Amino acid sequence: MHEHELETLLKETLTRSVETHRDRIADLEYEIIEELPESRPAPRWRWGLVGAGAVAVAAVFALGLWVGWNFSGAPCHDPQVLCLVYPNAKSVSLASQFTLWEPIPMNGPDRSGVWWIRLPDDIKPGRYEYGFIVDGERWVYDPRASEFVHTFDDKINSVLYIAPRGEQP
Amino acid sequence: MGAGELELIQRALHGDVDAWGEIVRRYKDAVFGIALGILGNPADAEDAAHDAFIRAYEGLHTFHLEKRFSTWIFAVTANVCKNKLRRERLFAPLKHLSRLTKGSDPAKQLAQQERTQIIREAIDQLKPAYKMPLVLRYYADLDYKEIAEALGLPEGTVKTRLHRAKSELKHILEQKGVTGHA
Amino acid sequence: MRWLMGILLTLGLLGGLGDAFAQPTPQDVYKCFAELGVSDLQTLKAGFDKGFSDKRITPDTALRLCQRLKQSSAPISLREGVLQIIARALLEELPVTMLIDKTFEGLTKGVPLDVINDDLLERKMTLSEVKTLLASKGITISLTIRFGPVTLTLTLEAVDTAITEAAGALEDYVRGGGKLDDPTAIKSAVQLRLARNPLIPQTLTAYIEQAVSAAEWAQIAQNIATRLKK
Repeated sequence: MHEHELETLLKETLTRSVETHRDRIADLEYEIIEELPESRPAPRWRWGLVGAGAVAVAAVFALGLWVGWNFSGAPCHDPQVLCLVYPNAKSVSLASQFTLWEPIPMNGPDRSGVWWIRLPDDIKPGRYEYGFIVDGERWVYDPRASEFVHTFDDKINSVLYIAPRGEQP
Repeated sequence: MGAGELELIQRALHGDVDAWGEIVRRYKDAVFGIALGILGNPADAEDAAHDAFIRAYEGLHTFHLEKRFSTWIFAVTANVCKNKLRRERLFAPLKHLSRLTKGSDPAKQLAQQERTQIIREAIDQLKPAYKMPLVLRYYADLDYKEIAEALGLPEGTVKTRLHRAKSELKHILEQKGVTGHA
Repeated sequence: MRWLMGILLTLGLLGGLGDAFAQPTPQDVYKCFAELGVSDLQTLKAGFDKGFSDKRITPDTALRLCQRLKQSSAPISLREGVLQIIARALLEELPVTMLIDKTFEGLTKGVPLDVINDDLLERKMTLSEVKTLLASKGITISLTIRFGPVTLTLTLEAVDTAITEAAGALEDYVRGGGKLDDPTAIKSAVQLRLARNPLIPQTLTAYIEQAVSAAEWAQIAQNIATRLKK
């Protein structure tokens, strides 16, 4: 049997199997949606020394992050400020349409490894794509953005909207 | 409103279950097909598809937006199937493989059914390490690189396993008298 | 004598400062193109002259683009390729904001210039198709729209921004894996983008919503997908 014939048979067999039984998954998306809120992982408490220790470490870490985030130098709650958590970076820059993609060095890192930059006061209302450049070479999108777009195939840009003064974006 | 895949994933990450429902709708055929190809049993494949989408939703925050979503969800599916096989030691042949359709030559249909059944059984005889790349290649149309990524294997290993899978299949089919002619 | 020296010194200083604050001229741009080593300066001049005249591009932006291309080590043919695509777009009276933006973005991200060139060519085709579509509905500069109680005369900025945003929305939709067999979703994506840009009057957005069908937007999306082989 030629290789090409075998490949054709394989594709046909596998496809035919699915067509025959497709009715089994007719309502799959509705079943999944119904189940989803219950399926969110509940905390799993593993009693025993190792489990208890891991939970304690995680709690302290989470507390530290919360304290760091809220009491660090980075004013990340300000909507005019862009932030990126990247403790191991040596440098982080912002690159965006409103700077003609010229990298602008960001401030930081603060104690929690947060880098930040304030948007220019004179930035015009509109839609802007942006991202961060870590250590001069790695492109990173802003995970806190509300919108993302694909660009140049394998890259992701974050999107922000600047509203006219007095309006919500 | 329909939306681009990236937007759906982003909405799902923010807890929009309807957005995830749309993702399920778009990918359920492919995920079910892969599970059916690997597990060989429609009931198990249905369970596996269901588990794969739940697990993918729970782990969605680990998906890197730059990557292809299809490769990632297929990897989750393959993992679910692998675990199922390990737990249940499942090598059952496919039941109720196909049904006669109306308006065609019954004899030809039967011959085709039998042939499909034999090929299906031959696939089921392969060990999981060979079956999984085979299904990802010939059902999901992934290339070597994508299969490697989905299964967490080097590309060279994928090529080797595919080659061996096809050799074994040919051998089994020839023993059962299935040739390349229709 | 001292007062004369003072005047001359002041004039000299002002002259120097004046140079520091002078805006680039088209000649500065063409000088940069020549220094870059382009092979077809004539077409570039024709395109960019028209762009400067139509106010679709400023000499400042063109010069920054040229200087940025000078920094690249890619072959001159590829660097000139970018400029030629933009020049031709300007000759065709297309908005070039998206093309310039994508060039700077690609260069910053280290995208190879041949990839940038391909991307610009593809996007230019989309801009052209969108412009043709809107023009077929009468949406051109100086058009006066009477939409209900509102009368609006379209400016270059409004029309060009509408073309750019519609083209951008379609490109993002297709590149993001949007379904091509869902014209309603495609039209929604375009309308949402138009509505969110404050440079596009709401009246124009509403007019486009009524004038352009979902199927017409979907056709352009399909063309993009074909070009990108999605």
